[in-house]
Amino acid sequence: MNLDNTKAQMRKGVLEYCILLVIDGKPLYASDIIEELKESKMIVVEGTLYPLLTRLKNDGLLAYKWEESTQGPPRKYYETTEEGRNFLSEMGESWEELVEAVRMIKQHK
Amino acid sequence: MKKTFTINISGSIFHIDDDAFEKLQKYLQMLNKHFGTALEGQEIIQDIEARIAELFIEKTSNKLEVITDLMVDEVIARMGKPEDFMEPGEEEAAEKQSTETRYDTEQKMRRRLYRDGDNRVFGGVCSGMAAYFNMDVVIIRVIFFLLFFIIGPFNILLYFVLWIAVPKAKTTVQRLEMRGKEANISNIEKTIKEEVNEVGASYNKFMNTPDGERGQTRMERFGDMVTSIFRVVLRIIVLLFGAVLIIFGVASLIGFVTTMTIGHSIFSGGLWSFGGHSDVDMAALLNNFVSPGAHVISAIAISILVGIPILLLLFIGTKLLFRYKTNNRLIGLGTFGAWLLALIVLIVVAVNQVGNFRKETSQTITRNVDCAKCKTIYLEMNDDLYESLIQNNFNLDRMKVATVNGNQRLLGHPRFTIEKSSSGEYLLLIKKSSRGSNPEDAQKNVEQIDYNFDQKDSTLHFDPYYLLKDKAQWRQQDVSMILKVPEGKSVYLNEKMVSIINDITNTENMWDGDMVGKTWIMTANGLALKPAFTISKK
Repeated sequence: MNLDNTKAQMRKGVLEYCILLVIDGKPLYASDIIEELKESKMIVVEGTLYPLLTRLKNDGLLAYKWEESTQGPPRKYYETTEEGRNFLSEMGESWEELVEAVRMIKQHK
Repeated sequence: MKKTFTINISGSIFHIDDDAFEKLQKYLQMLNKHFGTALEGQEIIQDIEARIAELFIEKTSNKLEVITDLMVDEVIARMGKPEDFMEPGEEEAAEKQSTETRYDTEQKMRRRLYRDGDNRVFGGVCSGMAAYFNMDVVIIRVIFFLLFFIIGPFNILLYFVLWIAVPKAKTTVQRLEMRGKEANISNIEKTIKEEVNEVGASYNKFMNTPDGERGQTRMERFGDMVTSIFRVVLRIIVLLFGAVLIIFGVASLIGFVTTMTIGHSIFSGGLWSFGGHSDVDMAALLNNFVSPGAHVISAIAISILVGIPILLLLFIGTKLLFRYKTNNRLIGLGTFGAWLLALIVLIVVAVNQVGNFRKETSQTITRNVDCAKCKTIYLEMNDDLYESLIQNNFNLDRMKVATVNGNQRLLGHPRFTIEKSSSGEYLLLIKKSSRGSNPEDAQKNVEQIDYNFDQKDSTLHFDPYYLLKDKAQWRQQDVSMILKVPEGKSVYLNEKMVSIINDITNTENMWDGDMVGKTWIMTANGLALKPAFTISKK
């Protein structure tokens, strides 16, 4: 049980970073984001995505635009904000540090 | 074949199977609970619903195709089962929460006591109670039977009271409420299904036991008849009570009105018996106590104060008898307000009147009793001219009301006492006192007092009453007289004097009433009984 817990915790932390990475550069909507993540073997269900997207939006890291769709209700297309991009680069540094640290620990064993 | 519901998700219409609907509804409810009612949570849910709508649109190739159970499963899998986006700690809490709320809603559902018309022997009282308490009806019936040993035949009375008081569950909603089940669509549907089955079953039953059926309906009919008789009897009692109130109210009203106007109440013992006397002359009362300016207001205020309760009785009586609808609240508040107003007015007037009694003043006249050679002064009373004219319903501090020549006059007994004279002469002091709103007013009131006495040789004749001049009002007037008797001289009190003498100090400590008819001599120690004969020293 605890293994799953830990795994879930790890994924949770990384997921935000991944989402920002995926969105950065072009406006995407929820379904697109899921597809991209799936292609990179990061499996996540839509139910997990929406809360994260909304939270990031409320924190000012993402912004969205409404687009009409022929296939049903209008869709939200998300984009990174200025703040979001700053956040992203900082996260990138932090990520590199973490990966480096883990690698070093593994090496020392 | 299945039923469909028509729903809308995020603004798009869908047709959905009934079981798919339930599944979807549960899923959405769980989401709602998970994300909460905060603004952020609602936003997330809207996004999810929009996505779900999109997915359903993809799956139904045309508008008339229904969303099936399978489709809902696929969508839920795609969107993520609630467990998938909850933390393990959260998951347990959510499970507990969902079971709790289910329990809650069942409890919260209003449970009402109805009579169960479908499962009844007599009136369905026991069945209704069984449904309410969620017990077996047999237990309730046994309890009812056992009650006989506790409260005797009253258990039957209780049963009939409940039969009358508790309504029968007629509509489906009522039937559900009786059992404490929530009256939503699925429950109603279930109930109707049950009923349809029951009708079929009872039809078969009927076909099998025609006698049993008849016996049961006979008992039911008997029970119905008894209760309707009971209801009629109750109604009659209510009508009678109403009639009594009306009669009583009318009598009191007439009595009161006549009292106010002509001074005699025709009915004695109505609601207007004034402390044992059934005749109260209201007009006289007002005239003599209340200054003229406040007469009208006081009369009106008193009418309202007494009239409203009487009218209220009449009102209740007619309402019980004739059963018409009235705006009770308005009437109640209105009459109470008026009554209260009248009370306040009266109090104000009374307080005002007190102002008339603020100052007291008195006037003392000293008269020499011309009788140098007398050894004994004889005290007698003049005839009582007013005895027959006095109204007996008044008794206030020695004051009475008499009707003289059509007018009302106030009169009272003066007070008389005897003291030792220090001047060696007989002296008579007459003190008239009265109250008023200020010293001048008091003085004027004093001058309204009329008292007479006269002297013939050695006899003083006193009037039994002092009178107030016409139209004078009661202001606590008083007349007191002191006869100063020098030492060695005597005085004889006639029997009739008893009505005005007031605690004359004497050496024998004799009561006033015993002092009359005797001669008293003033000694150094006070009044002493004069012996019948004297031994004269020669």
